[in-house]
Amino acid sequence: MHGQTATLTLPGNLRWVEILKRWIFVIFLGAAPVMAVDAGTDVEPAPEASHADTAWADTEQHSALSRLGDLDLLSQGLVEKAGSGATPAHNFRVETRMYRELLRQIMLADRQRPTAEQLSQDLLLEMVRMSALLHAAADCKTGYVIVCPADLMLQLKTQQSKVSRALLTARGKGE
Amino acid sequence: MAAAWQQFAATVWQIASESAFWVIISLMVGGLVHEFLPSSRFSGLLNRRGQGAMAGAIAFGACLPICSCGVIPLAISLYKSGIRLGPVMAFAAATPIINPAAVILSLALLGPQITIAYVVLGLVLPYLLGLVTERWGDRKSAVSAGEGSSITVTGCCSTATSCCDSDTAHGVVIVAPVDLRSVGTRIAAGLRWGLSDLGPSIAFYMLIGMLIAGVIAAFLPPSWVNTYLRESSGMALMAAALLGASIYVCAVAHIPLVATLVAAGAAPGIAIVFLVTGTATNLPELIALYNTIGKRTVILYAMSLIIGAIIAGVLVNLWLLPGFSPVFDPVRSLDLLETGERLQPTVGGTLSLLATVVLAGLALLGVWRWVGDRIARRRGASSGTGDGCCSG
Repeated sequence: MHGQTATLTLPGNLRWVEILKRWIFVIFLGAAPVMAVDAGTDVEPAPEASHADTAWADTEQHSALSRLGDLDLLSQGLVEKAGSGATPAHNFRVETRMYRELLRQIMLADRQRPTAEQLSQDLLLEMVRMSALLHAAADCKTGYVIVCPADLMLQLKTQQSKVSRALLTARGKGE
Repeated sequence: MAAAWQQFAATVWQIASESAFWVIISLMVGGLVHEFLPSSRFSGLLNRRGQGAMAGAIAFGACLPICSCGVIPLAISLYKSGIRLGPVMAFAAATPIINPAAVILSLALLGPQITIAYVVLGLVLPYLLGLVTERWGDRKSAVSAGEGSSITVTGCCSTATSCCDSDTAHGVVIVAPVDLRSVGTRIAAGLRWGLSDLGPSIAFYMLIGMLIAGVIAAFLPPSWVNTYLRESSGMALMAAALLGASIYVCAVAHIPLVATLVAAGAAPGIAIVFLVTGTATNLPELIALYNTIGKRTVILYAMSLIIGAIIAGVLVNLWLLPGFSPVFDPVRSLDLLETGERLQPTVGGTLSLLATVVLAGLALLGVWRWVGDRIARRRGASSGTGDGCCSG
């Protein structure tokens, strides 16, 4: 508990700078999928797709999988933070929302692509469940810090390994 | 042993800090209810015979975003204000089982079929519980129809606090007189009753419940949830019901947990049983109700709830198995999750800490009064005066 108080005693300004930095990060990361959405709507793939088009689609899917990989890393960090018992609740909540927003943008960008080139629905659903569990963890705050009950912590870890496995499978199929 | 002790402390602290704010709010609202309800028209409406009062209590409870700990003071103050046992117990069950945020989360993560079953059960089960407890529950308080604001109570001193200043004691019919005090005075009196009369005893019983829940959490391996909730047999339904009833479960926080279990192959009936028994029964709530409303009522309440949930779980399994697989649109699920989050009010860290401190203070006051009461009784017994309650 002493470790937490050190974080809590940060000056108010620094805390706001930290929050601002996180949101700028969200906006920048979010811009990439939004651009992909625009590109997808502007350039309709021709029925007889050329080799270049297929390569473009592969790159898009690869890029989407890469962004999901980044999200996977984010959730791994969040699971660790949830288990540490010393994470400030406010920061955890901001990062959980960031996870959800990034996931939403990746999914919306994915929808713009032809069905055959879209990401696996199972993988996306696993990540939606991960987002819900992280949100449940964000609610488990005792005062200013996140303290997860053991059953939720166990489920978070199980779900995290499921997401990572599903992502590996999707990457394997993509290659 | 150190890990068990840590788990115990974490569980007690978690239950206290999660529920404290709502318990304090509920105590204050309960105080106002106790002050204003007996002389208002609502008292007559809530005590009316027939289905209307029960349905109203369930509908009201289903709209409140309060957990099973938070609902205790409100339910007890309704009961002490002379409301019939049936609507009170229906309200106490419906409030934690079902609320708008939980329904939306369930729709997002468990799918429409389980959500329909969850909502139907969340409305029907409290109604049945209300009927059962009213028919066979303790008969300390009964208000016959047509008496308006009259309150008939045939017992007293069932709580740790003194009931001698209560207008619902002495086993007589009291017709609430027209209150000539100003509204401000009545609000102050209501808050005083809620926080200083009702609060300490409720907090004391909740503390006992939290300590027992902490012991269970310390010695119950977390993997049990994972192990038992994955099965679909009758034994697994019973295990889910007992597990749900013994550990602290909040609908909104546990729906994601149950959703991952269902996605991993758990039977949908298990999800229903765990959610219903888990949210509507927890030890702090049961112990507080046991000591204030009555032993028989609470035993009936818990047994009916567990049996009703198991039957519902079997029916849901018959309906959806085999081959049930929740299928969603991921984007829509995410949107619904966000809506659910907006509907669930979050309490800030400072407020939550402050409320926990107040609740702890009330619990200590409750312990003090309980010890004082015991000593006074022993002295009374040893001196052979044998004076009953409310003799002063």
